Amino acid sequence: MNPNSVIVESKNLSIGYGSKVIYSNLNLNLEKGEVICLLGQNGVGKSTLLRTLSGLIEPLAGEISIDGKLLSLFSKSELAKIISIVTTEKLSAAGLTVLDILMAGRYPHQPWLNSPNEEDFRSIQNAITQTNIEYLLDMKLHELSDGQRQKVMIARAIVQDGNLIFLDEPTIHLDLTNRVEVMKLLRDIATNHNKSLLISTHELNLAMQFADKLWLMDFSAPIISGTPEDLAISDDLSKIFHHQDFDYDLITSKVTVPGNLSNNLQIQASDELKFWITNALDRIQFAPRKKITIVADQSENFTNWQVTLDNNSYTGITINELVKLLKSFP
Amino acid sequence: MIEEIWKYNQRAWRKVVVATSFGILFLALIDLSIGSVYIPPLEIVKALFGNSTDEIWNSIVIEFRLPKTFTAIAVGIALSLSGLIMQTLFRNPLAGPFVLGISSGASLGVALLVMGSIWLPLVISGISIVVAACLGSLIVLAIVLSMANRLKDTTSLLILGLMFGSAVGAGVSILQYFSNPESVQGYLFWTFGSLSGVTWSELIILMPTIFVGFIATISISRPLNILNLGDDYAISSGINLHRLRYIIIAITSILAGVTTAFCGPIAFIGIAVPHITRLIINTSNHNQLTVLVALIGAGVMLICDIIAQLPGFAQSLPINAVTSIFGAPLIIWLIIRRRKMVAF
Repeated sequence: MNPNSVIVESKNLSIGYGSKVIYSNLNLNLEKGEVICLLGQNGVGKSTLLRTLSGLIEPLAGEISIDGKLLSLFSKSELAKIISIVTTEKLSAAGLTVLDILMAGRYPHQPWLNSPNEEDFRSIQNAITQTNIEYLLDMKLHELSDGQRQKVMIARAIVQDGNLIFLDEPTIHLDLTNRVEVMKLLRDIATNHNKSLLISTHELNLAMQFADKLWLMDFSAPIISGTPEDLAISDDLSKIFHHQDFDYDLITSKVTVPGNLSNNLQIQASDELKFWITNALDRIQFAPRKKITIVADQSENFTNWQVTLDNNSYTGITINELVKLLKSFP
Repeated sequence: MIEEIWKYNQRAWRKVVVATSFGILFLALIDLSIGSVYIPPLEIVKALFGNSTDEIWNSIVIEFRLPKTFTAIAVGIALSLSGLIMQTLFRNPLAGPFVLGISSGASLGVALLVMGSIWLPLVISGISIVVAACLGSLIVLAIVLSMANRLKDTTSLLILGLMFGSAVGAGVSILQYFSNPESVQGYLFWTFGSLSGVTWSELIILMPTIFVGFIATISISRPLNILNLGDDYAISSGINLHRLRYIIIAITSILAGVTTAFCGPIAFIGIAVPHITRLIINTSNHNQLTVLVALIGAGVMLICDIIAQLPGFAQSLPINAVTSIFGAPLIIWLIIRRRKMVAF
């Protein structure tokens, strides 16, 4: 590893509030152009770590350095040119337009009382092109949807023009399309503009797909850092997402409640159909006591299925009908 | 493209500023022409340039009406601006110098000075009243601010302000009880609020002070916008939050203190004008708001003064009565429309 590519480094860092230590002895590295997703349950200290690394709260012990210089030696205005943030804070500035907010993002670069210059306009133009929000410029913040607002706040972070962007749960409250769109956007920012992003999130699937590295946080355990694939293979991920009642399948990203489908069941169908039938049977916790065979085949928009039980056979064309039939069995 | 949009917005804003300025000039002329003595409008303009045919008209306009009009403009600017920056500081649309008890603080300062002069060798002059009022408002504002950090909701803050108002009122009553009738009477007249008591020699203190406050407010417009986004965004934008808070407190205490010192506590202008302005230009961008809030504050104060001089009556109404009659319903309306208040 080339040591020059490390942009943020922490040594023996302890984080927390007041006298309450949440985490101690953190030795973390964040490299240039890297996307890191911070995963862990609610309350594990993700926000505290983000806030400490971005200089919003003081570390309890240890040190953080940026580009080899101690974080505490940076003035707030120097830091503003390096680090920008996207928080989950509820914004009261509802009457500001998107352009006003982006202009406010240029604050660290604007001399006192000066009018915005060429560079400010160019920077804002770049950010809105990247985030695809040109059509929102004249809108007020309170008129935006959650997804639009999140993109605006990401654009604001880009406009601030630092090499580091720290985002606290940027996909929270968003629908699936917007979650994917935001994560892809963040990935592109890192790749195309060589910026480093640290993102706290609960979106394991998206993190697996878009992050260069994951930082796994768990109660009373050290942070585990590594590429998503390594952590999956080494089982570190499943340890974080453990639960006594169910398993999390990393490959299908499906939650499975183990031990329901018994050996009595036989499904003959294409892989896709088999997947969906199993999905439905899992949900109703179907556990046959006698031997049962389901044969299914897809034709046009229908699923032709046939269920054989005790030499009786039943047929139907939707999974809905299949589920109703199976529920009627004792 | 961005540059064009920005410049277009700037031009639109400038048009509103110019239009409002003309409006204020017009209101100022009306304000000058109304009074217990009728003077023809043309003669008023002539008197302003010192060449009216009537010597008495000359001196009425120059010695009485013009200072009052200037005072109205200055007071309107000062109270509205302090209301605006307090609403931003507290992130609370119902904040204002009067509601939060800052004017009461100024009153207490003045009461202590006026009535305390019986026992202590205090000098009651324009300057000492100003200093007492500013100190009084500064102390109350500092206490309210230190408590506001623990109170997140609007209602608690308002109740806090009310409590301060009552406590200060009680303090003043006790002072009155132990004072002689003359100083009590002097203090009571002061609390009615008046624009007409300010002389040219006092205006020389009032106007430059408010002008400095106005310039200071404009110079922190950009940080104020970011403060609107929340503390974390402000800090990570490189703003020194503590220093900004102190600057806002200092500006508010001076603006609210100096006007209260000369004109008494004037209610509702500080809280109402920022909302009226937002209704007119529909933005919370302080780069555009500050100047317009100042202008509209001056305009509203002139209108209140015009109403106070009910044509045909020799006496004029206390200015506080007029601002309250119009201000209180506006605030009630704002509270009822509460859902909309996030847009500030």
